[in-house]
Amino acid sequence: MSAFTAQTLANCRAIAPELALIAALMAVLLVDLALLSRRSTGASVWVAVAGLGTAFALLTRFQPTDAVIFSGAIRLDSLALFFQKIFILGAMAVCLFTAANAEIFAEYRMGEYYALVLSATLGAMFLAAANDYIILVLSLETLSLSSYVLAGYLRVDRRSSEASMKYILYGAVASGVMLFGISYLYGMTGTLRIAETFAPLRQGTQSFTFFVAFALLLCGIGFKISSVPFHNWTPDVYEGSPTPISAFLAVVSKSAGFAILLRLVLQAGMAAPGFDVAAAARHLTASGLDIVFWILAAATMTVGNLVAIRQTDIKRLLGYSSIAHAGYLLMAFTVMNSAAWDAVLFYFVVYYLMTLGAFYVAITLEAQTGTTEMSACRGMWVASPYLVTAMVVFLISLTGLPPTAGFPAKLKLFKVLIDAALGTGMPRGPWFYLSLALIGVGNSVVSLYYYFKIVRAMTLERFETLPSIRLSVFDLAAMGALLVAVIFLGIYFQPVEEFVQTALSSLGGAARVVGGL
Amino acid sequence: MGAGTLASYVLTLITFIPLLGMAIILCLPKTSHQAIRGIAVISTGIVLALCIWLWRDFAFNQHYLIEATQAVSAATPTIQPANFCCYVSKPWIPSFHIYYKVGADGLSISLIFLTGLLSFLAAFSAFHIEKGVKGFYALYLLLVTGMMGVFVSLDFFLFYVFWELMLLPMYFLIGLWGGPRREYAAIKFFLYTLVGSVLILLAMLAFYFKAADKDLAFDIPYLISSQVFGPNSDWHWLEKWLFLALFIGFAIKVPVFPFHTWLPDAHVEAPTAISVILAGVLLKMGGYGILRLNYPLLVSTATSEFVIMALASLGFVSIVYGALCAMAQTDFKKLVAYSSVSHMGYVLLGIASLRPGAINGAIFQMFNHGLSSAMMFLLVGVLYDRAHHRDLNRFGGIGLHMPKYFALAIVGFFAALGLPGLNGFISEAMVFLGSFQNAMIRPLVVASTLGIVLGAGYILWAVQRVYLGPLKEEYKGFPDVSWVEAFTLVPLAVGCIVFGVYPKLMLDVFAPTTDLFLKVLHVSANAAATVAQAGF
Amino acid sequence: MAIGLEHYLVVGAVLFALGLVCCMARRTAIGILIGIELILNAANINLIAFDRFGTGRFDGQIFAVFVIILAACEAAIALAIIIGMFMNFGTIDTDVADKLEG
Repeated sequence: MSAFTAQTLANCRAIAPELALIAALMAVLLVDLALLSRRSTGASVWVAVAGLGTAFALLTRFQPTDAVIFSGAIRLDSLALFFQKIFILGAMAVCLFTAANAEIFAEYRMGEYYALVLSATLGAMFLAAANDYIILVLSLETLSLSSYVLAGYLRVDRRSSEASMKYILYGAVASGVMLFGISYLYGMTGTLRIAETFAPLRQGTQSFTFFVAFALLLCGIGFKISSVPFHNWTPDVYEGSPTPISAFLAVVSKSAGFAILLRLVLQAGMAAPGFDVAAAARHLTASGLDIVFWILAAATMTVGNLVAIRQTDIKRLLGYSSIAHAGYLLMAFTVMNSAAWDAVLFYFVVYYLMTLGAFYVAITLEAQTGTTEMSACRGMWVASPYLVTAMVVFLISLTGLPPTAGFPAKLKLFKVLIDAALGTGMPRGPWFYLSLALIGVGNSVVSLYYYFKIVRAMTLERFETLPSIRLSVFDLAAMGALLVAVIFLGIYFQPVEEFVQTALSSLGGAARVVGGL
Repeated sequence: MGAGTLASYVLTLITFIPLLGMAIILCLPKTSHQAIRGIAVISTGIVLALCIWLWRDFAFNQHYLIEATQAVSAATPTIQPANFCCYVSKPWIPSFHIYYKVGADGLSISLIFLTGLLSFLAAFSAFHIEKGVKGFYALYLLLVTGMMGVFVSLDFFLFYVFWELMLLPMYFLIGLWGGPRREYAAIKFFLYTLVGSVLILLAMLAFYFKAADKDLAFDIPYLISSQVFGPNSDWHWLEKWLFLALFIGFAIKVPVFPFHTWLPDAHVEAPTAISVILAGVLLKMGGYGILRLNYPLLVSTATSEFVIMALASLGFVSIVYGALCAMAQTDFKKLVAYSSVSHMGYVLLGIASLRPGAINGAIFQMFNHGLSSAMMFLLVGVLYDRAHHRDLNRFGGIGLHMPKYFALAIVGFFAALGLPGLNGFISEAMVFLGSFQNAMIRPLVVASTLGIVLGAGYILWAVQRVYLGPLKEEYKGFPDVSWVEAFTLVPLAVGCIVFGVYPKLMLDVFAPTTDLFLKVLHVSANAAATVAQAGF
Repeated sequence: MAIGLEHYLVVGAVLFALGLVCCMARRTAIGILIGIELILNAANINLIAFDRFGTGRFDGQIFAVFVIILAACEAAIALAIIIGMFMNFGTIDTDVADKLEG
């Protein structure tokens, strides 16, 4: 066996989880092909879930090694592993949610559906580990192209069709613009390694063109995380897509965008073998990127929250709320220290739980009442107190109030800003950070108002006919599990903290100590 | 179980027994109304018994008093865990330095007792609710846990968690069981309080960051003794902002004049039992927060002339404005709601003056207002259950027709009015006499006595319109107070009389705490003066 | 006059600008798709030119090949979605699709 073959094999072992997903993807298609009948739906979901489970098991086996494999194309560090784990869990939840609420897809064959969910997850996984622009673009497109199709999966439904058309047109423009930016970054530095393209920044020789190129790159990512001004597609697509796919976009797709944004920011201060968080912050702040993030964060959360007030459709409202949450997360990007990344990862763990929970309620509503309009929820309190209780807890958590997990998550984000404002040696004055914290706090109050519009519709508003809701055992179990998780982690969030700490281990020694509040 | 053992658990029990009651209620079938009411009454009853034990233990066991006094006489008085009885400290989330720390001093014990009493009585007064009994009592007990938690917490984080925990049950209790405009009132209450609590949250994070000993960064006694934003700190400029943030947070709850508009709406729409809790306990949390956190944490701002003047002015405006609004009401419940604004104004005036008598008066006023306002809401509730309206001008002559009710009503309203011999008189007099000693705000104190005149005006006028005059035909069929109603009203009436005749019973409980509070404020204030002279 | 890097870059930039304008101005989905192809090809021209005049390690050209594949995938999926839209709405005018708004 030649050295090259041996090395390739070793590399393949390192991407075993992704290979397991590819195998599962093919298996799903084959099963679907073999069982040319309705029965395939049941089979393909289990194949898909088994594949995701295998991938997750393989992932937990890995020790984060900071290994750079495939001649530097992929970088498997603890950060990538963290995101890959939550992607897989998120995708698994989406698959199970879909299978449990098959009414939404009554007319459709589901083999391709699960195959596409798997391929989207595959794209997200590679994206989290991307170390050069080819992998970045390819994995981003794998994720995006699968999502475009999934958004339009209900192909005779006009709204689904429209959602997918809007999604692909916005998305393709954004990725084209991003590619154009990347081409300039490549031209200026002669390399496609992400870290090396930031060399001008580190050496202080960045030109105006560099910033333009970097801004174009940010456009593509801003689209993925639905940051203002690239957020327009979000509510439309969330509303029109089948609800499990809206959930997928809100959790997996969005966090994949943040994973790559985080990686880009960290690579700016790259120093072998780990990341140099402080250097990254120094270089980016010197170029005023924290001001850009300040503006993006303030605008994103304000726009998301203010427009959400007027919404009457739960899915659409959750779409705007997910824009607002992107804004909250961007707040941490103005500070860019280890504590900020700690807060961001913590937020993601909690965000997954509460968003999946809220979307699960929306999925149940869509499957059983055929609509997610708030007015259709009137009297839900009487029809299903369990569902309403779960929804109230998820919404409380999304608002960020104790005793739910959303509280420590948001607290940590604000804590990062307050620390930056009161700390010494920060590049900007205290009011730079304090003002953003105040904007965030104001937004949290606004968000309570529209989240409670849903609660109000479900509990307080008068109703003529009782909505018919029958929760299956799986519905009860899934909502119950997420509910317990959200409350338990609100009261005792040590486990999340430890999970996040391991994820931060490749940020260098300092990161591990920083944790906590 | 010996007294020593109970002492280490009693606050935890008081806080979490209602939660346990809620869990039991959730397991009961929806239709077994009697069992649900029984559980609610039993769990709040146990809590009340424990509160009485705690009060008695604290008032007559000189142990804590001696410790508190020792701390006062020490060279650098400060608040320590030793000043709190039944102190418990257990790690909760170590990596965040969050502890489960509970303890009680005179201030909290008086309010814990009040909370225990009112939550027990209000549980009875909600017996007539037939719609969604299970949900009502489950949320009600959750609310009780939240309120108790606020008064026992000595960890800032824990305090905040309980503070927020109350919001949700309150929202639903008003929103589901309230009057016609309940949705509006519920969300208004929720949003106002949330604005206040996020400001408290920001201040909490600032303290956490600046605390020198990170492991004690949420520890309230430590934060008080370290004064990280004091005059010697580089961050002194922030102190006034933090004071403002905390003050607004608590003032919304009190409520102080410009932040009060949620109160009439919430009170008018809330069911009687919830109005009782709202007026009797929730408003006290604002005053409690100011005394426990806002002042001691930020001493040099709290003792500055500007703050004394500003807060006394706000107190004055609340007193007079609340009384004038009360006078203009035709809705009986709204009248009582505005009278709360007026009465809580005395609390603020007393605190702002920073004189021992006035602060004792302010704490006592909180306690007394808890009794008398709860009683007034219950009295209005009795009437509303029979007449199904609350229009003052449509009543008349009910007094002689319902003599037992009339007797109780006279005690309740006259206690609120401040009649000598009843409890309201003592505390209002203490506030006035005490704050008069502060020359700076003397004109405001004198002007505030207008509140007494106005208070007498609106209460006597209301009593006249409702109880006196010829009996109207439509009210002839009204029965006098039922046993349940009498059971809720009599203890409060007895309280109004007992604490009016023998106030020492309660004053002794919190007087040492007040002394310590003032020492903590003044020492640091003197230090500030010295620093100022030294040319900083 | 020898054709240098600048010439390619100018062509790329012009193509990019035309593509962007096309995306914004066109109302039909096919028109927007054409604009997207222009943008992608602008990026390709840049990549190849930078590679040819720069390091010459072929990574830029390899990237360009990937982008071409990607453009093909994107076009295939976009056309499928546009056909789906045509079957639902009877038109490919993006202004007509306004079921979703808020």
